Amino acid sequence: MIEIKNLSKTFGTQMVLNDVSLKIEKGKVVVVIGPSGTGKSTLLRCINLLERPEKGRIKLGDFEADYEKISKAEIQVLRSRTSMVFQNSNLYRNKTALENIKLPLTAVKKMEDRKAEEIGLGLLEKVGMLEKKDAYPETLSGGEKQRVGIARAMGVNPDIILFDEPTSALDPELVSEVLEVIQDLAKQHTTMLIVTHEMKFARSVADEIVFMEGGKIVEQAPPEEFFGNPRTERTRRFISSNME
Amino acid sequence: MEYLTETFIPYARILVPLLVKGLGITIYVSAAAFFLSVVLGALLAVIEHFQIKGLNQFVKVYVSYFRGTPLLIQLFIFYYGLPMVMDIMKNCPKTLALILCLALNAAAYISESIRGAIESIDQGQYEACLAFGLTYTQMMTKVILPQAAVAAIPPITNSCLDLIKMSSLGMTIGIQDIMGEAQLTAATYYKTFETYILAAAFYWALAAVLGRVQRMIEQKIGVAYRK
Repeated sequence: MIEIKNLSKTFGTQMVLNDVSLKIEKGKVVVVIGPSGTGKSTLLRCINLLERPEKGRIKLGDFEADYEKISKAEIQVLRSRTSMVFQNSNLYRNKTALENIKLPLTAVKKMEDRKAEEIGLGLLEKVGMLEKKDAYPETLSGGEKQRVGIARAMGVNPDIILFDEPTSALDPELVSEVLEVIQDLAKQHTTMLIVTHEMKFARSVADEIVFMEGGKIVEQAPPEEFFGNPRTERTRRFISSNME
Repeated sequence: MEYLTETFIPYARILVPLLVKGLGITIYVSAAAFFLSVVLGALLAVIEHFQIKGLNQFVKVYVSYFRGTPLLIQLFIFYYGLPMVMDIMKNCPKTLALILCLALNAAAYISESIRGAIESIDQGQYEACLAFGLTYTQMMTKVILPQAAVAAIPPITNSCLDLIKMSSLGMTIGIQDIMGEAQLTAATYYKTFETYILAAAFYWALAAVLGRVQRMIEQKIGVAYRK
């Protein structure tokens, strides 16, 4: 279980996150949607401290920290127990597909090389990338990079995987191969927090939809309810303009 | 033709063995200075990149001085000047003085090359390291610097080439490298043209070899970045 309480973040004078609280049960998939620039990505990046929030608390299983006075060691715990899939994959460019999965395992988890290799190969098979295990990111398509990125995020066996618009940078014909992999993860009850603009995907994969605007959570509901019977006028307008 | 057989070749027979001896010194001085300058340059680059407090200002002045003044003056200050004010410098061998001066000078350029290469690495690479909990040292040694190295090879090879050529200034403090041997021999035989043509050929050959080495290294470590 992961719980964020009263999270606030400003960039200069602009309040990007305004007192956001969110709870994600173990094994559940929460999808964050909303217009651009409403703090969706920032929310994700605050969880693993790629952005430093001014206020708020985070609970991750038995671990709890206050963002205002978080220590280096606590940041390390948060980062090693979460993982992230980036919009541009951000695979390590000097490492092959397999090495990308192995690096966090050997460097951070202090795992033996052989064990890391085993995990890496297993995951590459799972995302259909075993044949390209020795390929460097430069030679992979956008969709392939994202699949390796997802395998890398799964490898560290995190409490939660954070997806930061995993398909936004892809050519349209490559989107589905990535979404399918995420669907598979959802079926296996991987805890995930996903920021996306793919409405159909959100509807089918989510246990809970969070609609954000202006740094606040406007509405939060299971997908049937959210899409079928939105409570606020603002949500209704957003859905109708994005579902065509 | 007669010039070749009567003058040039007989003289070359005398000069070339001396130049070969000098070549050994040139290679030794350049290699040692180059090694030191890369280590020092990387250190300076990391200090500048991370804006490490206190040291950062020092690096700025360092780079500015060594890039802004002639190497010959740096060498004279180091070899002739410092012994006048510092006793410890009185026993500094001239080869060591040359190596250190070349290294200090080249490090200023190399640090700029490495810094530029580090800065060319996409922010996402850092984030991918941090998000997975890599430490700063792991991030730099396993992901950032290996990528920066590839970008830094062409400018660093240029610095190495400059360093080899500038090592000829060692002649002014009596180093018997290619230039030192050439200068001495030219003075003995009054054959300025022949001497320096051959000396130039030696430096040129060194540069050609270096170019090949660069291509080999680029082939080898550039493998990750080819489509």
